[in-house]
Amino acid sequence: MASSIENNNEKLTLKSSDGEEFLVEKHVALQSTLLQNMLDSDCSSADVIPLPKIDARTLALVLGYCKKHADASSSKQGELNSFDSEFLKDMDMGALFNLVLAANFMEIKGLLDIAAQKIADTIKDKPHQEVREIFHVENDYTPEEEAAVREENRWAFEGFP
Amino acid sequence: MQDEQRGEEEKRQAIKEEKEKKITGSSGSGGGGEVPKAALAVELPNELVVLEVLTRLPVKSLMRFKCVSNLWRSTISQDPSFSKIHRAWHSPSRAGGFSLHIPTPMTPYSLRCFYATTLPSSSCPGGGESVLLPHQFTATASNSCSKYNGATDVVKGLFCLYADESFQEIYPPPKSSGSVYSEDGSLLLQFGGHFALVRGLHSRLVKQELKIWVLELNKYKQGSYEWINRIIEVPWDFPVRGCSFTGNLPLPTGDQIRSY
Repeated sequence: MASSIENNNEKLTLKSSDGEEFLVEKHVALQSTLLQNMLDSDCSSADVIPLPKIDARTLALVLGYCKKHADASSSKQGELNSFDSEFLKDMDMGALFNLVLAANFMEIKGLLDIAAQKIADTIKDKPHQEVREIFHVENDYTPEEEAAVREENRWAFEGFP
Repeated sequence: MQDEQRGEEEKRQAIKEEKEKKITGSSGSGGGGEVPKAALAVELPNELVVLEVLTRLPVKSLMRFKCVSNLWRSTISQDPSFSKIHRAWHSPSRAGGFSLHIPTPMTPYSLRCFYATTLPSSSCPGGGESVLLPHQFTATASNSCSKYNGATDVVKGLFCLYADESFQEIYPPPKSSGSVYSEDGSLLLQFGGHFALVRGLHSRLVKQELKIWVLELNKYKQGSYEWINRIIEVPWDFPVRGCSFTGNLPLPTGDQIRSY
């Protein structure tokens, strides 16, 4: 009895790439499959779990998401949905990229889904030139080649520069 | 032949060099401190861009983004595993797409529907079907507005439409006493187990709150649906997921709608 309460209150410490430490309740950490596997395989004995690829700002956001989703009961799906859209509302591309990277690394499927969907929704109506810049893609087309690809897909370009 | 190829290579190289010059030039002159550096540092690896972002894009955006780079083009149009994931993501059971079947004032018994087909294999060097293309057709129902038997076979499992300008094609449903549709376009769609009629489409959607008339399925009685009308407001970027009907299209007509 006493031990189960203890387990519920168990906490672990996560350390961001820039050295900040976050004390996290275990049930919140379990939102991450990566952390869950670490805890299952008894890596929890380590005092601090380093997350060398995730900065403090991103980790704070990730843990905010995890806490909300860990605490909410399954009957509150509507509330979670509005939390999710509010959570991402004013986020810039850089922050969204960081979230996708962190969610992918920590294996938090729900967060990966909503952040990637937000990116997709943001770019879907942007001109391809802007998309190229957003993703830092090098344009390896010659102008002639690009024009040819564009001509093949002319129907999709109506209203675009 | 080889000369031609070499010519292309040289052109590409020249363009690359030109760009590098620009990049180094601008970073040298710009007095950007830590902020631009931090912004530059965030980059998604290509696998994540393809797997998590491109697979979620509508077909029309993908067709445009073939112009982003050769790599993007070959991924989008020639990578069978990409198109498989994209199809799974956008298949009717998952994301749907929506079917429109709204009579126009001019032709009250005709339907305007949208459906998707695969590209002819000749345009897909990767072989076979690769992406879905939206199409439009108009069908005529046999007698009344309440059932659209004429269209169901055609629609079955095929709907997939994302193009915004198609919204211009949408006509409002017929007006009758108690109905509250706007004149500037309406659209029947489904989300979270509800059917909804969206008003005020096209440009009015942009950066505005959207009003959705939720038509909750109340009863199913001898082939007719009864709807309850309820307004909810959603953010303009609400993730709209459509539906495809496999039976009779349950389009509400005026006398089946109760407005509160």
